[in-house]
Amino acid sequence: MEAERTSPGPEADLEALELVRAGDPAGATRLFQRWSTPLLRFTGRMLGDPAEAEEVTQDVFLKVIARASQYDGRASVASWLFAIAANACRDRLRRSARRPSVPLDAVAEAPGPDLPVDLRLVERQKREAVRRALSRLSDEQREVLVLARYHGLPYAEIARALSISEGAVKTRMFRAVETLKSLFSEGETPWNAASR
Amino acid sequence: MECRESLKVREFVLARLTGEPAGDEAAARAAHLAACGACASMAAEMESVWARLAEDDGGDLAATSSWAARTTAALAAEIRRAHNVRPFRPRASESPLLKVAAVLAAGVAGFLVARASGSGAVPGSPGYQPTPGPFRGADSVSLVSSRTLDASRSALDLSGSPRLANVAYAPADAAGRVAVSFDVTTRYTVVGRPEDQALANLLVSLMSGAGGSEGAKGKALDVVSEGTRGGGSVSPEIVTLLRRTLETDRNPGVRKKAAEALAQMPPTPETRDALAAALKNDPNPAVRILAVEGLAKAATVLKDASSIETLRQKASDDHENGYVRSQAALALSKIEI
Repeated sequence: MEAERTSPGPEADLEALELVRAGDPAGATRLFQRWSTPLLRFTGRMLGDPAEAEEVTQDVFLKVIARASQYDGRASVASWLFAIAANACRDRLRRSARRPSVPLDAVAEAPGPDLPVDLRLVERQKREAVRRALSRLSDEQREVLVLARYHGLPYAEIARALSISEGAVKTRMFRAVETLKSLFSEGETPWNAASR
Repeated sequence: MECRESLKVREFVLARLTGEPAGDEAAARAAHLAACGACASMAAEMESVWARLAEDDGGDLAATSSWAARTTAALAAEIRRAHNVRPFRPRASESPLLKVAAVLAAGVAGFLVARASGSGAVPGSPGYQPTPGPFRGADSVSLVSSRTLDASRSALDLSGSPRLANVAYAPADAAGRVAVSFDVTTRYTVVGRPEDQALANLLVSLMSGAGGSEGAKGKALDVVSEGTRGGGSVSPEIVTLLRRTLETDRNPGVRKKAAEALAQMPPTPETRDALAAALKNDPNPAVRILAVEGLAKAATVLKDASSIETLRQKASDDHENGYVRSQAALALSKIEI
């Protein structure tokens, strides 16, 4: 699980959302500081393109401002944010009528000046291989798996965020793991298999 | 052979991996897992998949400071807009007849003013002279402006329902005057060739991030590439910026577009040096392949030994990606000197 589920916590999210509702830009800034990287990672893994992920994530925060008054507190703010992000990704994928292909150059070098170049390259290749495998899941399987594996959302929260049943969450998780099992056992694909 | 319990065990293992409650039969499942080889093997495979996913640490998907600054500014503006703008509603006392009279009066006044200034022609008529705009001569068009209007002497035409953003109100001064400030969006279309100074400046600005997104930057690079595909020239500012982009941009997709644009230009020592540096130093093989193409062209056009030497070194570099090496060798075989 990535670092977003740590302090300051759900209460701070609610306070920030209240500020947004009251028209205070500090609320949006707080939500952005806490959630920009997790949402960017979610949209990046869903879309397979960092530039598109930035655009969609920015749209997500703008939608949060527009819909702040609609938040009813039934789900956590985190689930609500991921629900908006998941919808935005689905819209983007549907509009462009494509599956995320994760071209070779879509996975940028992570900032890590302390690591030697060869280790950075190895890390990047591993990341690319995982990202390529994720891109071959169906959109429905990918969003469930990414929310559970990388963002630590419980099944119930995922179900609420995606407006599906918990049973459907479990089924999609099973299928995603099964597909990944066979993809990973296929071995590494050629370096340029998914590019161009 | 698959165990009859495998479905339940799979659910149990997945719950364990995701931190979900394992249910009332957790102890029974755990005991079965310890005793059944097939299920233990299946569990190990699932755990391996789960562990493998951790190799994507998302380190490349962090919020950059420039994106964060742009986005927080956009969010602040959106909050101000959402909470300050009040929709305009006409007063109920205004009757349709009064509105028609006002329109007619404005039309007559406009006609009289136009006739007094000696310009009665309309677009398309013989005497029409267009107002000098950004596409005529060397007019300078400022895109950033601020104006203060005196409401007692100015009329405000809101007929096109312009979107008023960042609205702010100042309380009444000693004379009872209030102030309402806002931004309006004006759409400009700049038409020209990439070597035209105005368009070159605009493209440089967009490639530097003025468009507010990586997408806008990429599109500007595409426009430059398209313009150079037929061997067209571009301004020195664009070449310098492409070189800087190729050297320093963090996004490999952006660097790739910069390399493509440089490779398509008529070669110069500056483009050659930029491509040679990319071939030697860029971590992305797709960028290096484009650098190979550009250097091969530079070697032929400039009769340049250093380009050939750089390609030769790459072709025989054991540590280089195989595809880049083969492309370098292929390029060397085709160079005409």
